Amino acid sequence: MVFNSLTFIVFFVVIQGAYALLPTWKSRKILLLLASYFFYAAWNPPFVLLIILSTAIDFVLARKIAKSTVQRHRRLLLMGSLAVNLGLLSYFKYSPFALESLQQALAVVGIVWVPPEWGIILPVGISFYTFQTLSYTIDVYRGQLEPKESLLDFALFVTFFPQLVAGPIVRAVDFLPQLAVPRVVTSKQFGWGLSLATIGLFNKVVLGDGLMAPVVTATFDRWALISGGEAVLGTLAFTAQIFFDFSGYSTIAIGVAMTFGFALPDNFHFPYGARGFSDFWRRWHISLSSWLRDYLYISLGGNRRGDTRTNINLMTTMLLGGLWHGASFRFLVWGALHGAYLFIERTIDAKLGHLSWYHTTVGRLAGWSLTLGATMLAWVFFRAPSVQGAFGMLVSMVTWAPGSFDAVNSLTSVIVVLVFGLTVCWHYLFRDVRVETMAQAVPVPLRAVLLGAMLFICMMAPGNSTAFIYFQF
Amino acid sequence: MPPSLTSPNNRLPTGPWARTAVLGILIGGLTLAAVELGLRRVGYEASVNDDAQLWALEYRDRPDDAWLTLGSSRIACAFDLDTFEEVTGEPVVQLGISSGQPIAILTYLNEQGFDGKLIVEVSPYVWFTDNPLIAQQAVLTLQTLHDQERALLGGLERRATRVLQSQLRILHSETDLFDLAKAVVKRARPVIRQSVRGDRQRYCWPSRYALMPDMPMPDESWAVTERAPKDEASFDEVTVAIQGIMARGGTVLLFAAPEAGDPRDVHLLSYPESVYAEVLAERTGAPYVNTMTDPTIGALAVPDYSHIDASDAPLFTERLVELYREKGYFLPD
Repeated sequence: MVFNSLTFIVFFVVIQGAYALLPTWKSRKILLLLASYFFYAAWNPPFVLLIILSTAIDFVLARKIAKSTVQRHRRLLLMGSLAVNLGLLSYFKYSPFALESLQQALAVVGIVWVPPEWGIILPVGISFYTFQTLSYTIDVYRGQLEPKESLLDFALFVTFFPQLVAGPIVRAVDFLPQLAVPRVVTSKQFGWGLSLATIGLFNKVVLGDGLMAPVVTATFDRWALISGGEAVLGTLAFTAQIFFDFSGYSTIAIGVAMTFGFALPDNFHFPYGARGFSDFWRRWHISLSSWLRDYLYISLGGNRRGDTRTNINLMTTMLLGGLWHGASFRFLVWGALHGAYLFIERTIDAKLGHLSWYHTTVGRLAGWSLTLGATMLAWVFFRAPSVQGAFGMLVSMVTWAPGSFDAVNSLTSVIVVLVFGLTVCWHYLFRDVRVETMAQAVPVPLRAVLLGAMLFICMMAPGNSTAFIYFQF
Repeated sequence: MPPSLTSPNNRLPTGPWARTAVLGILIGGLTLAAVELGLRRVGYEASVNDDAQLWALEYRDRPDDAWLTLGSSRIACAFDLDTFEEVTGEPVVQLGISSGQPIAILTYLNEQGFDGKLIVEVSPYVWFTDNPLIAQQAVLTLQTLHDQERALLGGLERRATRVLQSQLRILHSETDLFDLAKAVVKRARPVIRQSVRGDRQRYCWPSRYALMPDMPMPDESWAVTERAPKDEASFDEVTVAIQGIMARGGTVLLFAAPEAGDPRDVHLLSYPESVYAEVLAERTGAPYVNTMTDPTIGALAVPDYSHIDASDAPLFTERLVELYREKGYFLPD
């Protein structure tokens, strides 16, 4: 079930009604758990069992880890949790890629081998909930969290439907305390939650799907035929689309959770206003980047073992971050680029950081432009149908190829440039402002008109709205 | 590690947000109602979205004894379901795919053990193109079918959506705000590009082109002068699928839809009948009708060179049935 569907509206109204009517906190939690399983099962019922399995294993193992005083035993239990969770993730997400890569490698040495057709279906959101349960077990192992006594609470933490399939990736330490006491939803919370959901829906349906997606499809899927200008336009469109799509989902998730009285962490903070890549990753998919930092980068040694090791750790983290998005060489290249960007940024900071012009307006603008340009370059690999397609797009741009196919008309081109330009300028100008501060700056009567207009345009948006891009991860 | 957040109160902006949200929903709802009434007033009708979800529903709900039409946008535009049912007395379900190569669908039907009745429009450069985007369309359509079959609600939500769409014009994906705005600015009624009617898949999306006068050729890709090498693998796949269906007792009728200008030249130059359609008919034993050679159908206008005008669909369908009758099908009892 996707947020941008009439089915979800009906589902939301029914669950809200039942939530308000139920008398006890426990019965409300049971309702949310069942609703979350239903929400997931609406896509593919058998895969609910997979979530239940993952939940049960981590619930039991974390309790055993907490009880055990023998370090070797504790480590073994943690390894067990990692093996099960990452094993399931690997099987569903990476085995076809591994077999295909093996086939290609064997072909290089002249061995013709056809891998078996496994017909594996990737469970929606498996990367998200796997990281969520892993963080719980690792926190318990590290002694940073007491294991949960209530299976109901833990199961709801794993499956809470607003963020189940595409995040934000919630930490147990943030969410489980919210289940300990009944959530009281004020009318103001409810109203702001609905407002956030509307803003997120507008981002997704109108800006992402309606305006940007057709241009992205028309250019990236025809990379061999389009001109250099269209390749640039496609890249601008995807840069905007991926933000509107994913931040739209996160905003809806945060808003919907708020209508039930829950707080979810922010996942985006004007990422295209970033000056530098460390800054970018503090603003883009914050829940994933902080997860990778806390559970991977720091576990590898972080920046505590000298420059070379730090750079290796950064690259490893970004490569695995790339691979988290999908089993493809495109995502590996995307991750490698971001790893390289972080390495270059550290080097430049060390060499030029002491110079005064580095911190002037011009220096900051240069840093912003370079960050944005390099980020867009990496997005080409993220979206292109193949690595070859990505290089094809880049060659088209560099050589300003004439193209043999009119993929985008001039009005659409103007709209893309305008929306992209406004978006990145907006991000830069408000990079240090919270969305709540911006919302309260809008005159009260205008707020309702804007929300009404957004809802209206969402319903009337041209084109077909599609599933969120991050569902595939 | 202390909790970084425990209450949504931490992030609430000031102001009367409950009233704001209620008022916003009211404004949005009332505006939608006003636009719905306005659309009906200028002549728009409520109609379902012609997409892969609808295709999947049509396929799943098809009567056992129904004819299925298969092909590209051309059959969707040219074939009038009501006329066919009226003339033959037999039910029919439209399963053409706009901008799509139907090989995957045909193969799927064969693999499913299909032994029913098929009317297949064969445009060789759609069937045997090497354009991956066109080939992908049928695969995505089948994927949608599988997703719908697998989902917990089993298409219930899509059925509900179809009911809503058949009642409210604002839910149609081709009701475009830009068009409406242009119509208001020009103080003129918008062009009604009615492509699908009611709650049934009747005409597919490209028929709107057929309603646009003086439409320029979309690009120069038609200007092919060299014959493309025949894709034997695809040709064999189509042959095997049709043979399989017919071997189980199924019926497959083939026809070529009218075309004009460059598309017709491409057809004749690059995909000659003697190499494609006639060979397919000969190998499979499926009767083939080239409607372009028929004087009645050949006289029909083809405004965008690929699709006949949707208003000519009843005439086309009636004549097509007559042509098949000459081959021994659809004979009156």
